Amino acid sequence: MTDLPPPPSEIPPPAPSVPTAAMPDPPSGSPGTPSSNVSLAEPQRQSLLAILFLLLRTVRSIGIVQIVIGAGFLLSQSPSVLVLALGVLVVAAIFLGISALSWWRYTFQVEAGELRVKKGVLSQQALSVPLDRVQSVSIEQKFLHRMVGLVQVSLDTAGSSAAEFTIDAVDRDVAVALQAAAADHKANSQSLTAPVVPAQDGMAPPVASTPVAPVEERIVVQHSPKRLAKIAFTHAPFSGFAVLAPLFAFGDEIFERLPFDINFDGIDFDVGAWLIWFIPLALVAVLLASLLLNIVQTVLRDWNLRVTRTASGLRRDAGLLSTTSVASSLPRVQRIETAQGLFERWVGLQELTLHNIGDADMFVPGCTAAEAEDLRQLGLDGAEGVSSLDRRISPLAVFKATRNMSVVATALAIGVYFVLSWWSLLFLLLIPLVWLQSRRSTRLYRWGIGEDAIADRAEFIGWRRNESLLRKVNSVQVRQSLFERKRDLATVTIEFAGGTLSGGQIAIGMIPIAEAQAVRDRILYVAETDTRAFM
Amino acid sequence: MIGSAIWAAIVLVAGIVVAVLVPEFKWIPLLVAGVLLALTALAVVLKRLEVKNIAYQVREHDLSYRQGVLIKTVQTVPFVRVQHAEMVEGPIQRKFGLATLNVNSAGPDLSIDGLGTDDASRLRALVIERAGELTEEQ
Repeated sequence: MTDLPPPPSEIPPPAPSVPTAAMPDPPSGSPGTPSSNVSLAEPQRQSLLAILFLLLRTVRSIGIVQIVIGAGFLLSQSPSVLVLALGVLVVAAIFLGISALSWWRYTFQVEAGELRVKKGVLSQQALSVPLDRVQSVSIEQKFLHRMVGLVQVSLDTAGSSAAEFTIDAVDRDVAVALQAAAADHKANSQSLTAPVVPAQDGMAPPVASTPVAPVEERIVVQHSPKRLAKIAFTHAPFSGFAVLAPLFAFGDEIFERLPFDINFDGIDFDVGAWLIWFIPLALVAVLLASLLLNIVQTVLRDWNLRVTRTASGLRRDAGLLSTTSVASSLPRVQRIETAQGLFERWVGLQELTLHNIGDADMFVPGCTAAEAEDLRQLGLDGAEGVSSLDRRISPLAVFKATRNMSVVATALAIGVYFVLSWWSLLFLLLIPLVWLQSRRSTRLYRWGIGEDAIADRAEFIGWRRNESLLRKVNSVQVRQSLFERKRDLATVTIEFAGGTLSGGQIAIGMIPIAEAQAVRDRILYVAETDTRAFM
Repeated sequence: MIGSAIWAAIVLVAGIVVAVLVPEFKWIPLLVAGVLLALTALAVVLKRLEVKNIAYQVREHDLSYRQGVLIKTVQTVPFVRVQHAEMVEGPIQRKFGLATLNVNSAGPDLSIDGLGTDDASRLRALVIERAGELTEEQ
C-alpha cells in the first residue's frame, strides 16, 4: 500500500514564489499569485491601443494587393489633390470607426471557470471556453507590440490544431492574469480529482505521484548568448540559406549588372580563370552569409531563452525583438522527443521537444545532457520512464529495405535507359548505399518498454529518442505487411492525443508478432486501468 | 465492396463518355479506361478478399477493428479515450441499409465501414455508454 497524498484540504497554500531577482525580465506574478490590480471577473476590454492592431488587421484582411490596385486605379483617374485627400481621409475614418467599434464591442472576462468573450460589430457573438479545456495560453510580444508595450494572447483549446482565439493587444498584467487563471484552474481541478479515486483492497490505484506539495518556481534552463551562438552553429546551421535562396533566382541579373563584361561564349582566358576562382569563393561567401543570418535569426528568436518550472507547469520565454511566452501544464505533455544532430554531438548539446496536445509544443534547443534529463523528468511528470532501451528489431529490415530499393533502382535504370543510355546504371549504385544505411540504422535502433512508458531511439548520423507514457495512449495498432506476415513479424503503432501533424505516434516495426501483441496488451492494460487524466 | 463498385462504374462511364466525345483519339481514353478498369477490378477482388478479414471486437474496456488484406491491421481504442462517435450514412449506403461508424479519440479515429444501420447505431450507443461510464468511474 503506497502512501496516498493528503486530501486537498490539507494542501498548504502555495508558498510565495521565489524571489525573481534571477529573472531579468520577469512577467509579474506567478500563477497562484494573480496580479493585484487585474480582476478578470470584471469584463475587460483590450488596451485602447488595440484599435491600432484591429485597424492593421482590417487592412490586412482586405489585402495589401487589393488596396494597391485600388489606389492605382484611383490615381490613374488623376483626380484633383483635394478629392484624393478627402477620399483617403474618409476611407481612413471609416476604417478607424470600424476598428474603434469592434474594440468597444470586444470584452472578455473569467466567470464560473469559463472564459467569456463577447465580440462583433453588427451581430454580437458570445464565446465561452471552459478554462479546463484551455490547453495552453501563449503570450507573444511582436515588434509593434513591444513599441507600445502590449502583448498578444493566444488561447489554444483541445478542439482544434489552430489557436481558438487571439486577443490582439492587452497589457502584460492582464495577459499574465489570464495565463495564471487557466493554469490555476487546471492545477486545482486535477489536485482535487486525483485523491478522490477510491483505493481498492490490495491493489493500490495508480495515484498521481506528482508532488502535491507546492512546487517552487525555478528556472530549469536558461541560455546565455554564448550558448545561443553554439545553437546557431549546430542546430540547422544553414537555415539562413533559405533567406538567401531568393537571391539565386536573380543570379542572371547579378551577372548582367556586374561592372565588367563576362563573355561566357568567348574564349577570353582571363575571365575564364577568374570565374574558376569566383565560383568557390562565392560559394564560401554564401555559406558564411547564411551562417551569419542564422546566428542573427537565432539570437532574435531565442534571446534569453529560459524554461521555468511554475506551480502549474512549464513556461518558456524567449525572444529579443518579439518575445514569446508559452505556458503549458505538465499533464498535457504527450511525447518527449530528444535529438542530437552531428554538429550538436560535436559540442555536446541536445535539443528537446515536449509535444503537447494542441499547438504549443515546447522546443528547447541547445541543452546540455543534464538539462535535457531535467526537462525529461519534468515531462515524465513523476513517472519512471524507460531507463534501458534493450530491445532491437529484426535484421530482416535490412533485407527488406535493400530488396525494395533494388526493385525501384532496377525499374528506374530500365526506365531512363532510353534517355541516359548506360549512365542510367548509376541508379544501381543506390542499392549498396541503401544497404549500408539500413544496416547501420537497423543495428543501432533500440526500443524499450518500462513500467509506465515506452520509448524508441533511432540513430544514423545523429540520433532521435521518443518517449511517451503508456497511460496517455489513445490507440494501438498492430499491423502486418505481406513481408512481415510471411516472417511472423509485425509493426506496433502507438498513437497519442494531439494531432498527427506533430507526429503524435511511436511506430516500432519488424518485431516478432508475439512481442507486438504482448506490447499492445500491456499498453492497453495500463491505459485502461490507470485512472489519471491523460490531458 | 460497394465503394469499389461505384468507382468501377464511374471510371467505366467516364471512359465511354470520353471515347464517344473525342473520336479522333479513340484509343487513348480507351487505354486509360481499360487500365483503370483493370485496377478497379483488382481493387474489387482485394476488397472481396478483405471482407473475410474485416471484423470488430468489443471488450469490456476497448473496441478493436481489424481490416486489410495485403497489409492487415488491428487497431484498438480504449473506451476511456473516446471523445465522440458518429454514424454516417451516405446516399448509396442508405440504399443498401449500411452505415459507417466513426469513433473519435483525441488522437486517431477508428472508422468501421459497412455496418448494418441497426448494428451501427447499437454499437454507437454502446461505445458512448461505456465511454461515459468509464470516464465517470475516474
